Amino acid sequence: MKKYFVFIMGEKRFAVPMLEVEEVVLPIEISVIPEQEKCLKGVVNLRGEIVTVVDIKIKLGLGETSIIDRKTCFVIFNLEGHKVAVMVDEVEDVVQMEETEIKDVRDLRKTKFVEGIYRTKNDQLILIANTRKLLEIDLLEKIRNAA
Amino acid sequence: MSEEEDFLLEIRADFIAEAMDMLASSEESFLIFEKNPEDDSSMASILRLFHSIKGGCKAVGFDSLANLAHKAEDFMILVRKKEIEYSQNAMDLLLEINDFMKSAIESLQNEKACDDTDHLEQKILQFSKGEINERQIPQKNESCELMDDDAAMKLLAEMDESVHAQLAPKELATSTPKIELLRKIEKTAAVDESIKLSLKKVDQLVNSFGEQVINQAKLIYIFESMGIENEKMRTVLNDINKSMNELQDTVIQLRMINLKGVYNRLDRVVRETEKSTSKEIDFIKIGIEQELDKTIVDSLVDPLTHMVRNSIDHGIETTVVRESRKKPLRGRVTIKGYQKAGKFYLELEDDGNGLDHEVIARKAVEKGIIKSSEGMSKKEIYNLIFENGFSTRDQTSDVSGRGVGMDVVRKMFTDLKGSCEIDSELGAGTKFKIELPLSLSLFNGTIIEERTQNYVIANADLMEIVPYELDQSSFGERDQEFLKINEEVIPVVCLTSIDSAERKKPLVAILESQGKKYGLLFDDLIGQERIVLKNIDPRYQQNGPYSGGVILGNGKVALVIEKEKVIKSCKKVS
Repeated sequence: MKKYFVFIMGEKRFAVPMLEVEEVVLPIEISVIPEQEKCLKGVVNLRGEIVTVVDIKIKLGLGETSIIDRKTCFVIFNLEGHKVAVMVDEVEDVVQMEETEIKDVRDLRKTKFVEGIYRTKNDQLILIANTRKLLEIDLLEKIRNAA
Repeated sequence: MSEEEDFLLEIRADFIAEAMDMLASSEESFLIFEKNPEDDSSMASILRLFHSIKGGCKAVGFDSLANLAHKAEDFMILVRKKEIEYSQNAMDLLLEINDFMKSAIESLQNEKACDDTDHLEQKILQFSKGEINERQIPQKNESCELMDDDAAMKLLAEMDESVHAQLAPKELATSTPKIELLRKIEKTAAVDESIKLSLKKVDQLVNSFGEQVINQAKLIYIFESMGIENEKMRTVLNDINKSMNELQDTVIQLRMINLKGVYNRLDRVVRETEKSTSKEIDFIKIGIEQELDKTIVDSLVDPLTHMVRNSIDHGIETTVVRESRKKPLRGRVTIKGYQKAGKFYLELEDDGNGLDHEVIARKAVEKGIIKSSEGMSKKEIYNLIFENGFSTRDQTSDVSGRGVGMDVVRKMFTDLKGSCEIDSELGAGTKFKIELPLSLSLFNGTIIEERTQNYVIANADLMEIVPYELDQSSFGERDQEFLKINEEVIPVVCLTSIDSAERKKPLVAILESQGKKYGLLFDDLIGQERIVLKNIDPRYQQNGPYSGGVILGNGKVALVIEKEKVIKSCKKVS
């Protein structure tokens, strides 16, 4: 059994390994940086640390996070020391999943950022996201090592 | 782990740090000794250093190194007593020993085993024997056998006596024991008292200071936004500001070291290049006491090594050529470090062949770096050697041709938020001018606003701010505008779109790099703040002219603009 963090983006449920999530905070005012990739929303001051905000909806082809409402949260991911804030529409739950029950969909050509699907007891589908790819961790790692 | 082991590890770490320092000083003394073998004091200090290193090695259990140090010591004593004739070979061996000790201690620091000392010990043995047999000094035919410590110490003291006899003959008349005397003199020599600090502690202080700077900015912001005038409060805020200014200077200075280490390394580079190219060089070092941030100083050695090698290998002519050109036979390479207007400058100059702008222009066209050199000044053409994929020699020599081009050298300086420029005169020499910031993480900055977002420019980069008027721009092409100030035409860029339709009263910040001016257009001027640079997502640094971010007094994040990157984007369009 492994713990997964579940959140809602658009109409869909996504899950990421609990260990990759550092904290969840309420939306903070974003400083926009011009002339950047569309999914890079800008930077925020997270208690004295400057953290990049990513809109993964754009990457997932679910439109853009335009409205920040009461349910919107910033999920702070920490993968190998790279801290990234992700805007999500709603944080839902923490779910225990048996890894054998996650259907592997990595071989499907269209699913670039989803690596598995999990069906809950009440027949809900949860998409397991590949955060490494989604947050471009390999690229960040490459730049860090080059420096 | 047992307490004893812990203790051993601790004293080992202490010893390693100490030994590295001592080896650096001994290297320096070796080089002085080489230039002037009659100067006995340099050899005396080398012997003292090696003796301490030997003692230290033994104490912490690096026995093989202790042995080597001991043999080296014996060897040096023979050289000093002139029982081994001083020669270039002897000098080479001594420096080799020093280098070996250095790398061995370095590998011990990284918890690796050091290399075998046997071959060096053999070399010392052979050297000592060969020379001695030749000169037949009866007493010392067993000279390479280990001397015991007492004997060595005695010899040391004896020799020091002779040194001190030259320096201060009167002091010796007293009956103070010799070793005691030695200590006394060392003590009086230490004028500026200092302590050793770990860099980690200093950086902790810098970080805490940084937090304090942010808090102070917050406090001022809150006070200003309350909109009430309170004289007492104002005075306190001003006092805080004053002491913060002083603190900032001190904190920055804590991280500063002088250029001695860099210059010493370059001394070695000059010496080696002299030998491999058979040229004779006078290396002149100016500004050794000048200080700069440690991170910057540490990163200077690599590019400068390459540049000095280049100057000697490609720049300085052979003696025959110099004679025919009626130049002094010995080539001259000068390095000069100095501070000016909040920046640090390094100049590296040689009196060699100089660059041929026609050859460079031709090559640059051949390699597709430029289309034509028409309308370019000589200086602009010289600076093409820093472009990607440029190398004027078809065949690289084994001295400087190590696959590192001048483009890499320049990148090393731009990585330090600096720049590098070249000027030259054919037949007379070449001069590099390197501009560097004094500190990488703490500086004073000006906050500007562009399309509701805030940005920061370092005050040291900023020449002036002028209002921008539409009719001033004489011509524009794509996103590049030109501004005319006092009959000078300056290229202007902008962080967003330069489109002036929506702008009310835009301003232009004038930045200068290597004598040329560039403009950055923005909407409004916000104020001044003390800046503590923080890291940002590297993707922003790649896709924009930013060096990092800062948290302002109002809690918002502003990106810090990197001058050289702004200028690069100007150049790309023009």
